[in-house]
Amino acid sequence: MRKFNLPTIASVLLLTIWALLLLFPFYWMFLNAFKPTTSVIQTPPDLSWVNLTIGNFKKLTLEPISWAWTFNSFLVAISGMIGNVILCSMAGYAFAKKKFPGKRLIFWFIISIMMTSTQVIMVPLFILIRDMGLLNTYFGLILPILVSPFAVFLTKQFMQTIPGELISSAKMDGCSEWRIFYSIILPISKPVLAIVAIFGFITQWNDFLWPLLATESRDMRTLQVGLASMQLQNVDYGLVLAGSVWTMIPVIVLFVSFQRFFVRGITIGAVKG
Amino acid sequence: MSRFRTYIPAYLFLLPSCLLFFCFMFLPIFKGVQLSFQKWTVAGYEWVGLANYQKIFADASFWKSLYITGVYALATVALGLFISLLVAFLIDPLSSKVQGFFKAAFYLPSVAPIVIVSILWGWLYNPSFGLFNYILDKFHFEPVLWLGDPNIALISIMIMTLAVGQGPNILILAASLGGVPKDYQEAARIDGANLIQEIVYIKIPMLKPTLTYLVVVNTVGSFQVFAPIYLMTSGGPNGSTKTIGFLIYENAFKKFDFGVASAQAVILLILVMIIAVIQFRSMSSDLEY
Repeated sequence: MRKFNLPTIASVLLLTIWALLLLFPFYWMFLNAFKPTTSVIQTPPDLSWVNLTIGNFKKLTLEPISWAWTFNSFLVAISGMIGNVILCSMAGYAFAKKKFPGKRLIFWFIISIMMTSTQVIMVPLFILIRDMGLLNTYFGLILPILVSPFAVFLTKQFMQTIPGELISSAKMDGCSEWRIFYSIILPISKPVLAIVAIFGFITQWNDFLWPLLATESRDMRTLQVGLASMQLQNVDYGLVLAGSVWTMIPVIVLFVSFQRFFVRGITIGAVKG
Repeated sequence: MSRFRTYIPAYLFLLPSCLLFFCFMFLPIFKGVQLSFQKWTVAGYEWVGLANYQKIFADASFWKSLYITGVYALATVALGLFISLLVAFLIDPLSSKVQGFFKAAFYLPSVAPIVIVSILWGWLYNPSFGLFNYILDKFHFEPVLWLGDPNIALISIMIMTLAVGQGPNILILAASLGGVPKDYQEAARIDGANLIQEIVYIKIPMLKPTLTYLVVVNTVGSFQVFAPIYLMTSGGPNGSTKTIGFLIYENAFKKFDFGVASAQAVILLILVMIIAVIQFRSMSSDLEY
């Protein structure tokens, strides 16, 4: 049992104020998404719980384009998630448990990609996808995001801890390579696969730059690109907030349900021990 | 030959992801270097040697962008890690339940999509109905053009980054701090060290490997900043927030000058690598691994 002393109270107070400041805009967003646009642009900010309306959401859900964007966002995020989980865990397994020439070299190549981001390769990547004739197609949106170095790194770290005897005894029993991976390695690796899946989904759900470049027509956009275009055109503020809440829902749901995975995923690669 | 056969499964496991890595990450880097020596004309691509680079280095706006990006990176990384350290130290002595609450609160803005964060901060900064100017008005200050004044716009974007971008830093530092052995603290206290001495002489040195990693990762990230600039100011007003990341985008997708944009991307990549290596070397020189 801790004593409540003055420094503890002071630091909790300070942290609380900082946290409230950070979270306040989100609170305002959720509240004002249910208010007419006149409330959104009034000063002082309207924080009352009166004349709430679902008008903005009605408008949003009656627009067919909202559903197209939502579908596209889910497609991109789920593809990223599945690609990361399956393809990167296969690579992670090879790095963790197999011996082969060029292992270190290939691994360092993949890790070094972590330094670069879409910002650096956006021009050649765009030209590459354009020359493949994949601009403004689902393939163009999805192909570059199916794998991530981060996912390979995480799965390798975890799978190194799986005892080698498990694999060698399964080999004795005549298990095929794929079967060992599928029925032994993957089930044991569930904790790390959950982290990879959640991060894969959220990263792609939130991604803005690649969908911005890879899509041309309005109906191919993702929610992020659609929202940004709405905001830059300065359309109906209430509608923009409703769209923001709509886009935040999966993020909030995943965040609340899997909070400890977030903490583990963020700290696993950075903190030794 | 039979030995090679035993390696086949490993290569097959690697094949799909490596193929994708190669096609969509490595190939673009090489292609980017190639494009930086070329010019796109009606007849196709033609080699122009170092012309793109000469054009860039002779262009004042490029140097201005470099300066803006440097200022942005330096300020956001240094202040951001300072804030994150402070929060991590304040969180450390609290019970794990309370810690969990604060970690969630500080991490949520970082996990929110940058598009939504920009929309919300666009409201906070709005000159006519934004919250910040309303508060200033309440205290009888003049309204500020947060995103419209060339002297302030970059600072406004930095403030946003400092507020919402610290989640991962805080989580990582808090985890590292939790890993500092308790007997070190005990020993320090018995020797009569006060709280400040304990932090400066014991905890900060213990955090050094983590801090090195965070400085490098944060710097690499902030040098490539694009989305907040695109969403909040589009590089304006008067080019005062035009970072290199945005400049590359503008040259490629507004002016369709792929050669110059690629050359700028190559310069950015080399710059980021050099900075990362220097930071890593200078900060980890006295580490023992």
